[in-house]
Amino acid sequence: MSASLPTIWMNMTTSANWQRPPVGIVRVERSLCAEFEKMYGKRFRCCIWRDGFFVEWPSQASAEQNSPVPVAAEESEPQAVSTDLPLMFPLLPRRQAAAAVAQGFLSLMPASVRPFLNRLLHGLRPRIAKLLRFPRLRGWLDRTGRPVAMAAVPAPPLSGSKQTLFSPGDVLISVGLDWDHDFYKDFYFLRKEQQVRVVTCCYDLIPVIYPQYCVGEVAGIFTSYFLDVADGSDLVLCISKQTEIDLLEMLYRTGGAQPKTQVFPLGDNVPIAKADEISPAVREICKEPFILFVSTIERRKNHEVLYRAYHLLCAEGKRDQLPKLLFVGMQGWGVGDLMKDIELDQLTRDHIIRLNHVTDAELRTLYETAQFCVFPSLYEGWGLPVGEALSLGKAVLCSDRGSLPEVGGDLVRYLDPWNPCVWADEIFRMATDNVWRSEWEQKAKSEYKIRTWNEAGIAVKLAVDAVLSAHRTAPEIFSSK
Amino acid sequence: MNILTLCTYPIKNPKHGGQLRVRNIVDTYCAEGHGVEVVGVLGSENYESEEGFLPFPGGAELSSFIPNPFLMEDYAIGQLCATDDTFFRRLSGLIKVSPDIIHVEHPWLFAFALRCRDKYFPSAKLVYSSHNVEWMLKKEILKSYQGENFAQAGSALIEAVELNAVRGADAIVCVSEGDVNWTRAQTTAPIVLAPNGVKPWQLSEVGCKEAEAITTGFSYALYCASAHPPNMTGFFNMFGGGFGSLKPDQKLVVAGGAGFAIAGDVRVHRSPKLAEKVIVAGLVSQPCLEGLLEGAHCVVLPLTQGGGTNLKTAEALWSGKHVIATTVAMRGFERFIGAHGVFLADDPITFKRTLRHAMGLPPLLLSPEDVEARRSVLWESCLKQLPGLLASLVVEARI
Repeated sequence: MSASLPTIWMNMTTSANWQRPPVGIVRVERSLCAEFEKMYGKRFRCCIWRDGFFVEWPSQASAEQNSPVPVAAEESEPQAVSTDLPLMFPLLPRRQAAAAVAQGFLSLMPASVRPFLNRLLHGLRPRIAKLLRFPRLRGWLDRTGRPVAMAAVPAPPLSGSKQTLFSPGDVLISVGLDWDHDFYKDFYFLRKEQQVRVVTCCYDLIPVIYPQYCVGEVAGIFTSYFLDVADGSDLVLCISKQTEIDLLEMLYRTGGAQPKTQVFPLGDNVPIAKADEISPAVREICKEPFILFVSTIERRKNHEVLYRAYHLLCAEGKRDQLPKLLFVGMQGWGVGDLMKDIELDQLTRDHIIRLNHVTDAELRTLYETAQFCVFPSLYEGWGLPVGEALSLGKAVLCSDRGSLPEVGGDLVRYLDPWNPCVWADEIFRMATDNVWRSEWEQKAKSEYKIRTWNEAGIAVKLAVDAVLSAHRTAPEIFSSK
Repeated sequence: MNILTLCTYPIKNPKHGGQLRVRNIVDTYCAEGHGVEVVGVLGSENYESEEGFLPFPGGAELSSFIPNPFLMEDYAIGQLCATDDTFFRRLSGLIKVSPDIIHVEHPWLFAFALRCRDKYFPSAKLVYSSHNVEWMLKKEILKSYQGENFAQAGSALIEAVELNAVRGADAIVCVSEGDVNWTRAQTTAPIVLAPNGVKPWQLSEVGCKEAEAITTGFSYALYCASAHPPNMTGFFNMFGGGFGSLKPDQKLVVAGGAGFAIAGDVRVHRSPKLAEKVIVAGLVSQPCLEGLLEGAHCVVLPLTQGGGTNLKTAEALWSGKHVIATTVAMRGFERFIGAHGVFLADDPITFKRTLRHAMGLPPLLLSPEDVEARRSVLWESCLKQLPGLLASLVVEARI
């Protein structure tokens, strides 16, 4: 390997362990990987984290096939490559694995025992979650007079001797669900001891800034994660200016490292649909006018303001003039009561409907057929559905929080996500004033510039090249201490 | 001359700052050839017993002077010894030599000293040796633990005791300019400034090995403090809300009583990354502490409350390491603010960022001039005025 042409490694651990159609971060990882394969050619290689080591992963094509069997690096330690049999199941993050075990127990129990086990699981859940979150804190209160580390202290160097996949000067790009793994803690040592250039990605700081919208006490976990990532990165990619601001502010406030950052655009081109790929359920919905909200159903996404707006409009006797409101996305946590309200509310009943598990083709059909789109989220790190809606020329009523103004520019109608009355007024106007809606559609069609994954790949490549160039001219010197 | 020193903690094996101060004052007097007798009452059941000291009286005795003696033990002990005839007799019975000077550390036993002087040693001169403006410090501590009302009432009681000491003393010793200024407004008696200091140390191989066993090869910042409540308050004020100052191969070593107090405090887990970074050394031997100081890259002094001067500041300055300190911690050492390797940081963000900055700097190298300037933090320099003060009091008494 020539010193002037370092290898560009892409960490595909998330994709390698993903068994469903790619969404969100998995899509980012795979899309960038595909672009880099084209751009870097033979300099580009993939790897995954397995058994405490990075090992080579054959190709993007294999990842697409969801094969969980990695190819070990020739240079790796023998114990890292000695597994002959493929994994029977893909590996899960700890939290998901614990949930799967519990789910299995519950499912296999006789019906008579199930309520008791269910109650037991509910009781144990917070404790198990706590244990999973703080495995390193156990046993720290040893008061025997010996020095006590508050957390398990690995003797340094942590990883310098064991990582052999990379050569000095190589670049490792890691943009997956990295916080579900341990490897991000090695990034600092890869940089320091093996001179590997590490490029990571920050999608948002919602768990840190708005922990109330997340499951469990995640603020501390993610703060700690981002602090490690900041120390372990030559460059942190950010998916929006807002995310970059949030990240740097948090790092500044906590005394963390201030790594180089680069905002890059996520692709928002929606795949083209074929008519025979559309399910009957979607076809049925498309027969009548509807307003579309594409998002997982969780508290932060603020489906509630739309429900309240619809309730207000229906209470005013405007139900017949309103299109149906369609939520497309999986139901997440913390919205059980809201879903029950929607189900039972006599005023809005059957006027707010839900769809789940739609394909890319169906999603495009829904975007194209919708009267207009809404996105009332309380906070976003980017807001891909807004870009997707605009790319298909749709009018959008959008929250004005977080990064959303970066996506929508002046092409969407911004509203206060906390005010249902405003949403009711604007939904009604957009639904009934065809001229008004058409003006917004025309703006979107004429002015919105679709962001492709190719552009995203080019932006990241330029940033990576800048990191390499900077290191060639002024190599970073780690403190000798 | 004969000097009677009264205090509320033992000093043969000094551990916390107050003990070290009293021990060094006593050593200074002894070095001048004076006879020194140390007598007192143990202010906590955690102190080891020592000749010349009554044991800690216990909560039952103390609660007759204040319903809730928590954090007010010293005050209640002072009242007990001054007003309860049995305790007065028991304590005064420990005094073996008729003193020329009664040197009272802290205001707590000053009322006892007055009664004792009037009854047994009418010619003795009284020196009040202050460690802080106690009522102000205590008010902050009580407020943190017991609320505003308790703090108001408690600090008023302490202020009365303190004013009694300041106004009843023939001379006063203060630890900082600020304390001198407050005291001067209360009395016309002579006042001497004797800041807290440190003893020079010589590194030992044993101490270095003990320190290395604690730090296990990590680069580290050192916080050395007793379990005195303000030391915890400052630590969490400065390092709460997320602690990102240290790289993955760096640690924060906490030595002294503060270590276990911090480890047992839930706040250490509420500040992301803090628990992961802290190594609790706890109470360590003096050689080990010296080893820790030698191996440290920085010494942090995150104090946000407390009066007087912090002898850990003197220790940090003498260590020759980078020092990151608050204005409170630099009280009495203001001349070193801005000196080579001394960083001032008074808010959490600045403190954390300064720590990261300092940990990334090369090890501090002091010039011979820097070292010479720092000799002023040694005890011999800090306490040099005390013998003269006592001599002048005795001469005055003879005239």
